[in-house]
Amino acid sequence: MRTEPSAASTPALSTPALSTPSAGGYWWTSGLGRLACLAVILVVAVTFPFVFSNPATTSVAIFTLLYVGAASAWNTFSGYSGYMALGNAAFYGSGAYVMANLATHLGMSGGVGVFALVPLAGVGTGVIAIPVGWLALRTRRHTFVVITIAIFFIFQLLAYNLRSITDGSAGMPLPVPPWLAVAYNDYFYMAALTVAIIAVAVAWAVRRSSFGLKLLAIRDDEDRALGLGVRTRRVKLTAFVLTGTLTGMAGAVYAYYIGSVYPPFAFDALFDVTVALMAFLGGLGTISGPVIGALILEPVQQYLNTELTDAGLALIVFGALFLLVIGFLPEGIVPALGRLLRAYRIRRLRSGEARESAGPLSAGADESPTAARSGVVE
Amino acid sequence: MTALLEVGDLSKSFGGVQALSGCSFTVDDGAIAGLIGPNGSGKTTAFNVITGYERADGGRVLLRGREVTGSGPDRVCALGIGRTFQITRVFGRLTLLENLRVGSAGVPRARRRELYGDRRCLELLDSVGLASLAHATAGALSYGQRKLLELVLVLAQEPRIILLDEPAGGINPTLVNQLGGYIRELNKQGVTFLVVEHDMEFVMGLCDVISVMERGAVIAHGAPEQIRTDPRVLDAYLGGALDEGEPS
Repeated sequence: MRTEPSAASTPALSTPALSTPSAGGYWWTSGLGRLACLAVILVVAVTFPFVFSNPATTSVAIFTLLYVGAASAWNTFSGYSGYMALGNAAFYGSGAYVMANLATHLGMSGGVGVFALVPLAGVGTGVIAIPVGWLALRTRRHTFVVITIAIFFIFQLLAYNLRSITDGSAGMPLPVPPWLAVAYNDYFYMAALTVAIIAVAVAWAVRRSSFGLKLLAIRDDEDRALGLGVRTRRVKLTAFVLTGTLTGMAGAVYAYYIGSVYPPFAFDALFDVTVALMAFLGGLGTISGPVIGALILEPVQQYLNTELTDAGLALIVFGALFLLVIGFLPEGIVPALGRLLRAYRIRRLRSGEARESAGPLSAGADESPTAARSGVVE
Repeated sequence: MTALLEVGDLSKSFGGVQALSGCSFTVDDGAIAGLIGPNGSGKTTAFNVITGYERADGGRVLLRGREVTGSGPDRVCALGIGRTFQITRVFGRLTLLENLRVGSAGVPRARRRELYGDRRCLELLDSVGLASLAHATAGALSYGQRKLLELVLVLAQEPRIILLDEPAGGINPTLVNQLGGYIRELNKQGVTFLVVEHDMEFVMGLCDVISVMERGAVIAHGAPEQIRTDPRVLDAYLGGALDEGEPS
């Protein structure tokens, strides 16, 4: 999976000859070019477990994809609206427990059929997210952040104590799939990939819709948006529930993969922070940002967890890495790369090819102000 | 002329401070009405109550006889009252066109296509000289340009009445004149305005009718010439000449 970002970005650096700066774009920014890039990424993603079939590798890939989904889902509400939720593990855990309950009560035995419960677990989590969002979204800014953290801890406590639904600290088992060890991870890989694709597709669709525009308007000035007729409460709650649903789906796949759900793992405070960090690292409010953030951070996290036997040490290294990123790339990778690329193009235009004096000016007006600060770069 | 906006006996207090007490006035259809008064006389609070940002303790607001009182800002907007803010508020990280399109939420579904087509959006931006920046982010605009953009955001929705909170505040005299020109032009096309403004010269030159507020109530109402000489008004402004302290 780590090959994906480079697959997408290498052409940017190595084939400037193909570029047509005078037309205001490179070949991969055209519709067809983008489609081609997407197709390549998709092919790489689908064939990955067959090329790298070592279970240790595919296991990392599965978690990475689940985080791609969860970070994209986080971004769809928090990245677009500016409401920094730090309690999304409440939905990841809820998805896991809804999944476990559904599988148990329907008396399902292990197999591909269990994956059919994933969307149901998502919907169940979405329903749970409605009152949570209704409550949390009565607040704004820092208060909202604190409320989401508090709600997460309430969920964790409930998981320990609502024994009739969760079996408390004893945990809940999920059906055991009858698959052979060789192919075992492949099923989960495809399920995780599906969830990731759905989450990214939703983020993309929201960004392009008028609904997404309302979220961005809320991020910039909520009261002004309200005064222009945006029903901000409804918009925020809808996005919040959407995020809850998608996060719940990721949690459901996680539960089935792990085979059992325990309160501290399903409701993990580290998850709360990680999904936000991934979006920050890649670029808040961008579509590819959370994907790239997850593709980088999750393998690193998994690697540190296995290589450094002391789990605390892994956390420290992880934290230090993050501080470095915040220090040097505060806006995230995608916007920073976008800016570098634009600066490079403008330089190219100014030197050599700037035969007509209007060239750089028009290119500047065309491209840079739009994308530079808005966080709309994909 | 018929009354378009009727504000009746509004009261509002913040803690112990009575910001509005028995504030009443009407704005006729097709007028450019001014709302003036010393600092703290309740002009902006009146705006906030009318547009739903603050809930009144008492009194009512009617738009063409229809109850507006108690509606939230989104509903007030949908009923046809648009407003701008004292400190200009646009969506800094969105492009100018995106800024405009946010307002499509405030118009009836059936009219969205007509009011928010690409061509109309560009025409609107062009009418205030911002068309060339349509794809720039609003954060890159100067303060004056933001004022114009904010006006256009409201105009795009074709409200029945537009409330302008200090439109001439903080911008250069040339732009003030330009803005006055736009307002008159739009008024000719049938848009009604209610303007809160400190710049007396601007208000006196622009408005057909002026209401003067003091301590949360309207104490005088009339044509600019009348207001200029009204003893109560002179009194309200610290007993001095009306345009004292204002460059003329």
